Amino acid sequence: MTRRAELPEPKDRRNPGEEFLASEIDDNRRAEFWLIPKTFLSLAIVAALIVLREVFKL
Amino acid sequence: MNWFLLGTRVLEIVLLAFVATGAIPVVVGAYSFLLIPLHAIRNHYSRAAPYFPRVAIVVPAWNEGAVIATSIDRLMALDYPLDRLRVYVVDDASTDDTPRVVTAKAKQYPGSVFHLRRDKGGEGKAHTLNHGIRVVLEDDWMQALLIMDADVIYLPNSLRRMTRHFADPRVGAVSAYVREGSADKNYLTRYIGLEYVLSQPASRRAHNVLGAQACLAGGAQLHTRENLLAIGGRIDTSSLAEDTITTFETQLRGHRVVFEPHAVVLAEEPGSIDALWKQRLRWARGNVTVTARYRKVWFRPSRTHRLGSISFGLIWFSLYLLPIAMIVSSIGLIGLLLMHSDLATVVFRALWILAACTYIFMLGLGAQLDRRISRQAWREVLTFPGVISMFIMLTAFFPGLVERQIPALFDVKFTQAGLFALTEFIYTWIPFSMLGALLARRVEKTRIGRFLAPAMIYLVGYGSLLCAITLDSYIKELQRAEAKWDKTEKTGRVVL
Repeated sequence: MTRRAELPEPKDRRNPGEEFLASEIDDNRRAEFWLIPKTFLSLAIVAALIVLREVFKL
Repeated sequence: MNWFLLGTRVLEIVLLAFVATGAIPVVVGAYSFLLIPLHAIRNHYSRAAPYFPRVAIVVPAWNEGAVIATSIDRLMALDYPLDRLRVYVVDDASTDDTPRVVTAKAKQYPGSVFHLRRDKGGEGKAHTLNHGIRVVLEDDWMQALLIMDADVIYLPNSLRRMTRHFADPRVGAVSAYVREGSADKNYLTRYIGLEYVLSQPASRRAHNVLGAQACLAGGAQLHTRENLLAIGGRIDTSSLAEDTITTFETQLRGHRVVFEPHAVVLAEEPGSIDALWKQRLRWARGNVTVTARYRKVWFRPSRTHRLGSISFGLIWFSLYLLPIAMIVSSIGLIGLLLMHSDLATVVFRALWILAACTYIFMLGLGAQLDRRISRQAWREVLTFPGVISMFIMLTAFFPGLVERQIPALFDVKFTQAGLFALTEFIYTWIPFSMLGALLARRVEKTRIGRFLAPAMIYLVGYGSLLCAITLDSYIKELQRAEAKWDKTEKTGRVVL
């Protein structure tokens, strides 16, 4: 998964247009997918600690 | 039958149950964070669409002269059609220059900024808001109502990111992510910043997944007109938890509450333990009221709302009863230790290893959800449970390291009595950590408090400070102490 490029700034920021707003929603929805690898990374840190405990038997 | 042996076994089982209560909030905390990745699939974006309702912003203001002008300018500069935006500042009988500042701003932005004055003030935020709400409901211009605090700064795109969820008529209210935004952060505001990451972009995403929100942010909540009318056209004034009651009433009437993590607003939070204590005591006492008021909602699934789901009930009560669970768990551990039960060590390790794994998982995930805050508060990320609790986690994880190997480096060896004393200390630490937090509050006002209070909070942990405040709220409720509105002082320290 690759991050999409930042949305271009709209010409009129008070009325950015349907197309810009729809792509912003799409962009935000897509960004939520990063929650999955972030969760796995956090779980991996916990798993590494447990492995450390089991291997070194300190 | 050996009655002594039987009695011992029964007592052991009771004490084990006591210890197990300490595991419940930990397991529920881990469960709620494991829901967060599901937000990638279960979110509200598929029903969101570009939508610009006419928004009336009601700003309660009491002696906000230092911040109100900047707040109004920021609101007028939002990325939102100007003809669809009105700001109503409800001046709660301010005694500073708030009226003068707001009147000047009303002249600067004619037709967009309005100054409403209450002659009798000091009744609390809900009364002030209701004054403004009465005015905006007098005509049908307002399609959505934004409730905010005077010091809060909205990022330019935040409002339009909130209103897009109202394209779905089932949604009654939307909450934004309130980020701690003080320019001159200290250790406490960094802890609060981190806590807000854990409680908003983390926990509230989990609540979105469950379909039930516990509380709309007091400084960043947007309601549809229909929802506002459905909940009675006013904010509840009977308790200190008006935001939570509004959130519950919205959902009980079948409207959805959505948390929008990409709509960010900045707020100034207390920079001293005393100010934080007053603010959180108000919140915690409000939660006691909410828990009692909605007693017929908990753990009773309904077709109308998800507040009665088992998951939501467990999450609510795990937080609400956290200090009691921690104390009961320590009593169980000490009891087992005094009985010389072999189970004491086993359950202690199981409990604290579980706590350590959960803390690491939650902080590891939370730290990735707002990298700006994590960069600023890396010390607080590392010490969130408190240095002493981290030492206890290390003892549970690697007992040999703490009991033998580290002392051996200094040519020291624990005696049996020494080891027993260390164990006793470790098992009773949680209740003492709350006392430590209370002591830090007392020390803060002394001459050495500036250095000692932060050191104590780093030692006992920010979580223990919050638990101590919650415990204080139980005591105040039992004493039926007067529930008064203590406004958190704001000094305009927030910057973009």
